[in-house]
Amino acid sequence: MSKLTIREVCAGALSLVGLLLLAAPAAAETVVLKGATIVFSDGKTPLKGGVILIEDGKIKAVGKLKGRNPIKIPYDAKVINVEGKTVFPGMVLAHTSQGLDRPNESVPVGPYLDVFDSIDPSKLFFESSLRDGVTSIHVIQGNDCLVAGLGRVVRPFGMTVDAMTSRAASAIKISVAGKRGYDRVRQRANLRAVFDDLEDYLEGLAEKRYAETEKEAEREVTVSPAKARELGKKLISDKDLDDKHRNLYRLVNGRLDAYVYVDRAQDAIFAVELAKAHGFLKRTTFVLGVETFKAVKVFQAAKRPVILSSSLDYRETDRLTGEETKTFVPKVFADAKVRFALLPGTQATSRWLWYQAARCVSEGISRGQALSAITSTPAELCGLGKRAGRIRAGYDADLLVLSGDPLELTTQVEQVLVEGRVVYDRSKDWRLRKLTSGVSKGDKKADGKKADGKKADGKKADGKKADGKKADGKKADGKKADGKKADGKGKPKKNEGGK
Amino acid sequence: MSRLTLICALALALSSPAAAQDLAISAGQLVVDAEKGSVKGGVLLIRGGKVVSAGANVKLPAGTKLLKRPGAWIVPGFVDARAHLGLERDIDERSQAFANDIDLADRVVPGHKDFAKHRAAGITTALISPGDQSLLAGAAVPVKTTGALLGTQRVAKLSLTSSASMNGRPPTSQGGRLALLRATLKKAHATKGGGPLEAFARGDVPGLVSVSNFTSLEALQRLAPRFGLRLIYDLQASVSPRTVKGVDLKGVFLAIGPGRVEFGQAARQVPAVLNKAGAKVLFTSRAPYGPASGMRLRAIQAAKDGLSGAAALAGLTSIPAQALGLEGRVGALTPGADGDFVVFSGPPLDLRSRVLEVYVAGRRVYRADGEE
Amino acid sequence: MASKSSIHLAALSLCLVGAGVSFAQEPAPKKDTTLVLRGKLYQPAQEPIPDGGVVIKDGKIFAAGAWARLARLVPKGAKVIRVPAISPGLIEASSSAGTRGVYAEQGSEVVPELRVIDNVNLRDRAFDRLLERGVTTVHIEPDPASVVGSQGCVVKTAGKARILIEAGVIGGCLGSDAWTRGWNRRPFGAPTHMTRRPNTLMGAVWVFREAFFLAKQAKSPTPAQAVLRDVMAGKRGLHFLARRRGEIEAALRVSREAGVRIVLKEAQEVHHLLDIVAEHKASVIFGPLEDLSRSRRRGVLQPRLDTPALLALSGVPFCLTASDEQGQDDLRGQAMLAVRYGLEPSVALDAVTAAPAAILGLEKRIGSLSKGFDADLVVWSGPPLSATSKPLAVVIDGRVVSGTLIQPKPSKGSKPAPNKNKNPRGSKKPTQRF
Repeated sequence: MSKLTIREVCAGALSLVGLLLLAAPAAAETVVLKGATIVFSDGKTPLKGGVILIEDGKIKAVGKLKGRNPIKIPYDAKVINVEGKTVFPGMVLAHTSQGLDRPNESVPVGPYLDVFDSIDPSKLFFESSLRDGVTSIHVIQGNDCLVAGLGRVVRPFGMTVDAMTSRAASAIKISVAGKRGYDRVRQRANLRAVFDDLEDYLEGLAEKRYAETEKEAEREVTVSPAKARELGKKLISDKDLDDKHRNLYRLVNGRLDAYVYVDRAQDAIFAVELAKAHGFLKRTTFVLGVETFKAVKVFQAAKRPVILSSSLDYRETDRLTGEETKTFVPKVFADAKVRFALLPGTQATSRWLWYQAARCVSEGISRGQALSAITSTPAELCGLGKRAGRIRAGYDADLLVLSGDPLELTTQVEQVLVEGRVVYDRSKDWRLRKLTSGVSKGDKKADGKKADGKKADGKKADGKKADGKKADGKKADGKKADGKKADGKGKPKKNEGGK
Repeated sequence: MSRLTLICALALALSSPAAAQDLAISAGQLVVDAEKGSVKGGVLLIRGGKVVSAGANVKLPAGTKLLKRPGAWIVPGFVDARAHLGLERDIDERSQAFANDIDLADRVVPGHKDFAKHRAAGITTALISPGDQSLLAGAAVPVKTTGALLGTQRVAKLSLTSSASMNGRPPTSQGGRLALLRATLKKAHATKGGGPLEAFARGDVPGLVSVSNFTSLEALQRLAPRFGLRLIYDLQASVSPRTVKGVDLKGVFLAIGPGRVEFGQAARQVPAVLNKAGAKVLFTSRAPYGPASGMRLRAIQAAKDGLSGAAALAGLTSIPAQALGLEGRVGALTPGADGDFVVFSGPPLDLRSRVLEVYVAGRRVYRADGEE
Repeated sequence: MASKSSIHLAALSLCLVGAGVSFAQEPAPKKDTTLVLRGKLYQPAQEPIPDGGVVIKDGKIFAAGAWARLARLVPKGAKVIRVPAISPGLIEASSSAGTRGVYAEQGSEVVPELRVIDNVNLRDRAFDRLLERGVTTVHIEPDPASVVGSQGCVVKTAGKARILIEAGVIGGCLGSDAWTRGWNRRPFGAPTHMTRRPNTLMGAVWVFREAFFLAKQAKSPTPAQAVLRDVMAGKRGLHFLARRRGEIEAALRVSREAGVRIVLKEAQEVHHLLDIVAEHKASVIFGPLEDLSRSRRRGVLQPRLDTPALLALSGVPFCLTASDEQGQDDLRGQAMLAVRYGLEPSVALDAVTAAPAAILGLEKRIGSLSKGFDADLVVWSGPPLSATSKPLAVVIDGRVVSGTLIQPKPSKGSKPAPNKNKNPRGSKKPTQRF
């Protein structure tokens, strides 16, 4: 991926500037989306001719203009007419290390790290996420670690990381799979050591803090060291800790979420026990490998939702007979009633979140479960439970205006609203236009004719040149086209690499 | 010619001087043809080195002394369809893809210690074969383990494994090897006379072909009817029931080595799987690269893991004889066949049974220690 | 005697035989091979027929079309199976299935006498994968390691008689694959047959020209030259792997010089050259779409998402391929991408069924559900090119080879349950397989 040229990066940055300009008239505005079919993330019957009232970036009301509890459009509202379109909540990507300069830090234990310092807002990844209708992205370190740093939930637009951030310090990453170079036995021993060290450190600190407090009060320390440690514990505050331990302390204190990567089924019990032993199970999200589904009962018992691996099919070959069995992983979790979030895959189709959900539907999972696995569940898992992933009063107005049903192949994202502001408009997406030149379904109605006309013109011109100068002329023509193309070379959906 | 005389002289030296004498022997069980079962208390009558009759009701000529081996089993001498015995280890000529002028009889060392080891394992006939380093490695030569040649009979030795092109000469791929073989066979098929290649291409002699996968086996099977090829495959592939699913193996001779080749978890069932798919499975020793007795041990193991006893014993006797075009002569004790047989202390596929005596052409060539 | 003696040996084997192995032998074909399916019928390049059906007899299509017309053709007593959607089996026009782990020939740059079928393991798992995704026929092409490559083969992914074309078109490659795919690429040292010789486009073109020139001139052609003569005489096709614009242009140029009509393979940058391609009467096996980040692809390809739609507009005969490499989309995924970027669904279906059949010269046998054609079809849970549907069953030569025709439960509540009230016999045996 180091092949990304400066030109591409600049182009990305420029386009982001464009998007920002687009989003400029912001702030306290009342916006109304009118006339759309509203598709809800829990799969309940879509609302036809629905109206969404947005105030200060939040959804104020969802309903109809007529009937019971009609919505009144305020006189000063900016009305966006989306008749014939479908409105769907912005999708949420629960776990990714794309957008970072590189996915993994080689320091094995780095709870003091923060992806804040690594996120590159100009990455094409963010632009293509927005184009594909993802409005919240949980960026967190990769799985090749012991204890990694803090993640961050960002919007896929903005010039600075601060501007993008919607939730800082979202979670800390822990991996129970062997970090590169370790086997899982060493990994487990190392993890235990990390928490043992924390305990030792906290005890020492407690004793010290107690002694200090007593000294300040000009009292002698009379209690036993054990008692002092116990009493001192309550005196510790975050600022007393060093960088190495602060975030871990917040984790075991129940003030920070954990994302625990469980590569294989054999690690599941250890992962749950680790979280339980240090008191952060209730705030833990398990990020699973493709084979981990075999331990579905462990997660069922732990009552924690999970993030599934991006490959949804698991295949295993019987070594004796040579026969292969295939398991559709989400179905296993759906059947066990464990809630799950989906991740995009690496294929041209599966890297769309909606496509992953559509595959779930094709394999017999209910539409509601499939839709919530790309919206409300991941939103909850990255701490946006009351903010994103649903079209409901009080939630952020992160909405997609689609040309059709979200799981339909030909559906395109036409507009994206984030907190009530239009931040993406397909008709102004120059990069997409370069790559499709208006033949695409979504654009057909708008400017199909124009594109056709252009095409015919081009042909004529080509023909003329070919007549006049023969092969040479054609070559020159080609070169020109090349030059023009060069701007659009950056593949919008490039996989930025790494896990 | 001198070579031939030498070997024949050696063969004579090994046997006792008495010539056209009758030999009659009876045993607890007599196996005439492995596929037809055994006869209780059967008698075998041999005259002039050939079987006269064998079975339950054999009339002995007056004055014939009957050797009695009560409790023992008499089975046809084993036929080993791939061995490298009697050679001084230089089994491969590597310079050409088609070593059509190589006759392995030139390399056989008379009186080599390998022959005795083979005899002790109950093997009476063996194909001395070159290795896998050329597409055509020359003519393999079937011999009695006394060292006597079986006339001018030869078998072409071919190889489609990757080692056939590991000597710095193209083709380097399986497709390339097959294309070259196809073109060469086409030419050779129309030629009269010539070496083992031409004889093989015309279908006059069988070819022992080393294959490392079923793809090349199938490719040759498609080719075989066009030229009337007679093929024995020396299988060096891993096999599971899945691997052979849908492969037409009906009547195909498949040679299985002593165990070096297939060590997968399912390997023990390989002979049974192949047999079920219609193949005629035969066992080879590959001696001296494996023990001569490995051939029988592999058959015993196969019989334990699903191959019928009859098929396992046939894979040591009658099937390799058919494959090499020696049926009617070796591999079964039918009238007119060579009097090559083995006396076992018990059932031949019982691991506890020992080889007590070995006879070639009616003459005892091996006797276990301590036996009379 | 025989019976008595065999008992002994049987007893012997009994004491030796351990646990027997069970064998997955294919069941013998049934005598009555009539199969009648009723459901929404998707034919290539046609609007779907909502109430359609297919009648299959002896492994061939007996009739297909609207049910109203079809009903009287159904043989008496034949069971009608209701299915959600039917389409012809998909055809992958360019694939390397079954050749896994087999090295390409390094001995020469010109190897048209070689046959890919010699390297194809018909029991490879790749075929099961393709089958499970609705691909019934696959063209296995030579590894593009030589400028003039070997002869491809067309095989079905399952069934009894699988080989349709044993040795068909030859492959060509002017691109970097011809010199980077060698497994012993040595930057220095004495050249051997392992060292790839031409490493520029001009070098590859020269090798190609020389091969055809010598084949034309030869008094007694070698087997390789005989094949090239077949190609020049139009008896054998030539599929050229050409991804980048320069490669496509060169391929068209040299093919014209040799007097050969070619099929362009992959052709990611073909959108620049549609006029020229049409002028050369070349066909295109396009794809995979958006397959740009792989390290194998040397140089930057200039992508365009709507190339299939542009190809359809230009009138150049084309089909789609997924090149079935690991981790990439399957053939249906390619058709779906094409639909998303502007191709009509019926044309997209055509581009993975009838169009590849035509490019492979099998348009009279496969690729469509027409009378007399091989009964290769896929039963889908919904529209074939929808993200929410999947293949339920695949039929090859009239026999179900993957999945089951009768689903234990309908996957969608909205669909009428199959066999209910329609056929009382069917409901008795809901899991009957064919």
